[in-house]
Amino acid sequence: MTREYTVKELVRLLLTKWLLIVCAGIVCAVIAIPVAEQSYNTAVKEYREYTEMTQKEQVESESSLNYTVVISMKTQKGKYFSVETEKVLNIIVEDYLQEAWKEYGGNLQCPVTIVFEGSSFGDSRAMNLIFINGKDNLDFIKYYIEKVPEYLLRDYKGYYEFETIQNALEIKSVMVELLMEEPVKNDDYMKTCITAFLFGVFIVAFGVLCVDFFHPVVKNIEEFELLGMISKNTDYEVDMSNRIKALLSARKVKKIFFEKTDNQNCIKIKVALYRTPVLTLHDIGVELGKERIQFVIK
Amino acid sequence: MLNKLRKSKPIIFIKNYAAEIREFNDRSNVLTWMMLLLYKVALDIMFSTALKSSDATYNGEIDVTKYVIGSTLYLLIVFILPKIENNIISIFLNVEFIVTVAPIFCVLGYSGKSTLYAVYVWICMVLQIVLLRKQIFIKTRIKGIYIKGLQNYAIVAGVLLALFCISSYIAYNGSFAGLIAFNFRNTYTIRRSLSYPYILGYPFAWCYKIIVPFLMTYFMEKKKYGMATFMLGIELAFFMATGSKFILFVIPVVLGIYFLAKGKIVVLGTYIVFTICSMITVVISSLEVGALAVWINALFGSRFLTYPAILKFLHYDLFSEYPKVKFAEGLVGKAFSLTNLYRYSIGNSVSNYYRGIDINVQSNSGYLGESYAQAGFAGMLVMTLLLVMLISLLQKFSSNLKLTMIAPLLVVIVIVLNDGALFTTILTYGLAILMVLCACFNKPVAEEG
Repeated sequence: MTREYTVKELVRLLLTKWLLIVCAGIVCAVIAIPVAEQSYNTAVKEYREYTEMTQKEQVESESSLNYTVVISMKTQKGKYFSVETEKVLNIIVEDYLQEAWKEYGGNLQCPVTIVFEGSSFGDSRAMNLIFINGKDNLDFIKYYIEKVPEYLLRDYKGYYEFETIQNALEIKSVMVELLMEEPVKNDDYMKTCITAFLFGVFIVAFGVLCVDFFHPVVKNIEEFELLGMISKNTDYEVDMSNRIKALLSARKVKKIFFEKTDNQNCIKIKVALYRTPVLTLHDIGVELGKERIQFVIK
Repeated sequence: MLNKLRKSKPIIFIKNYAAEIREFNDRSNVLTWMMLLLYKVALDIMFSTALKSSDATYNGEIDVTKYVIGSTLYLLIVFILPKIENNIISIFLNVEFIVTVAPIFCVLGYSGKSTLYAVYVWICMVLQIVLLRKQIFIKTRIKGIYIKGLQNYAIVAGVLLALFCISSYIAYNGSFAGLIAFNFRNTYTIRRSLSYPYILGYPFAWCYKIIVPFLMTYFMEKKKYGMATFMLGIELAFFMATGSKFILFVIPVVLGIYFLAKGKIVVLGTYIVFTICSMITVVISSLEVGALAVWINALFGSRFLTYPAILKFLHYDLFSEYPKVKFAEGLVGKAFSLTNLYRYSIGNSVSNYYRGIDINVQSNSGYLGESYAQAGFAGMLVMTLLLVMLISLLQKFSSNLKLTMIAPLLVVIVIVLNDGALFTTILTYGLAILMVLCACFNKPVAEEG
């Protein structure tokens, strides 16, 4: 079974609930400013909490700040990174790191973790070398950054083009700074109220439609009698039933009852309708009247 | 059946439900059962071999405990998952399981990520299955919804809107890449210099994601192949203008699911296709055939299955440690002017968190990741319930539509949900538009002709 709506009916359905919809909009507009205030206060509190916590942690671990060096690579035209890429990247980290370290004149193992950036396909790729305890190795890191392009061009010229090697040291920011910013208060109350009002109207209007879509039948089924001067005949009842259904559209009619009357030429018709108050009793009478059948609506 | 279930006591309810599952599974295709298990094996092989080094957070080494937990969660879903064809609820649940949920359970064993989050996902999936299965079991027909008198207007408006969007986009940017766009090396170059005309961003996305594919399947169903080809041409024009690979990706998905729906094997067919693709990824990767292997790994394995799964875990990692967004970002946040504590969008914050540097990269989350970021597990439950309601509504709107028309678009929506938030999917990605279109075309069969 399919319930049919016209656009006009949907609009009328919404209009019948206009008070509910407008009230919902007003409620949203009224609560919008306190909600926004509360949201701002909570955000400020959380920001302070996390900033203070982070500052404390930063002081405790200042000597172990990590430094990140980003190396971006690009293949020559027509070539793609493949399994070979991984080998190259490993060489950059392990062999070149050792080579640079020897040249630098140290014998310390510089702790480093690698994070590969971007997608593994296409013609460009980058990697991050995150130097653990970078503060202790700051001079070496600077030296390494200067040397890496030289090594890469020496060994891989002709296959890879090293598009950019960021020779800027980036102190790995404290995470809270990367993620959060100091909350800014929104003082445009008028805009807040209007958007909240529209939001409330939209949501409740959608809800009204959904309720009708999901639960078209209510407990109090509308019943009324249509009295027509028609003969009692089973075939005629079926015919009438179909005509009424067609007139009112399938979604409107739940059941049609035929009852005998004292008058031999009359039959009482009861029509149980779905709730949607799209057509009024008067509309139905007019519609049936168009069919040139004499009906009296009780 | 349902009333009986509702009235009964808990134990009887479980017994009845178990009986229902048995009855249901007896009727289901044995092949689907086999494919569900084979898909798990294929994912395991792919994750532990071909995609081993695709991501730093994913080392490919197995954590036995987590693997066992992940596999158990997978198998428990397998038992209760509906396995029938010709039903959009069954198709939705199965494709969502294939694309979104199964990779999460499989990745769990190899990534060392949070078991708790995997359990959250499992609960949400079970909730969806339990709530939506009711509608499969309802004996009476679904009471469909049809908006009369709009079908022809919708067709004309859809075609005109698509033509207007593409022509204004080209005129606005003053360029059309044409066939060059098919060389993916140029993709980012094309995209870099393009922008959307004012207000056309939403209609543009609706056109290539929903309206044009929908009309394409409609014309194919009506055997108007000339018009269907015309719509295909418009879709390709969208791709050639924007260089967006998603558009090119939509075409084989829509056509593929259309033909699977023709053969009435959408569920089984999707399992077979994904299992085969997983195995092809493994084989080609092991052969090391250069760029082809990289592309197949990247497009199917990494980009499609592994990354979205891992990104959901990363959302959990970040927002279990830091405050939740509390709907400050997005529609609700804008409506009530809520203060967003975070400097960037949820996706960007996850990228920053993961990489430890300020990087302008959007990590797509999927609705399960995004809802956790918004309000934790409660948010996941709320979004799950909302999704159930939307799918129920879509079922009402498409009760008289042929499966060949609705199934392809439904699968596109499920794939989009794996990458985007639910509210974004409704508005930006066109789930709402799909519902309206379905309601306009949902003419009762008796009235056809």
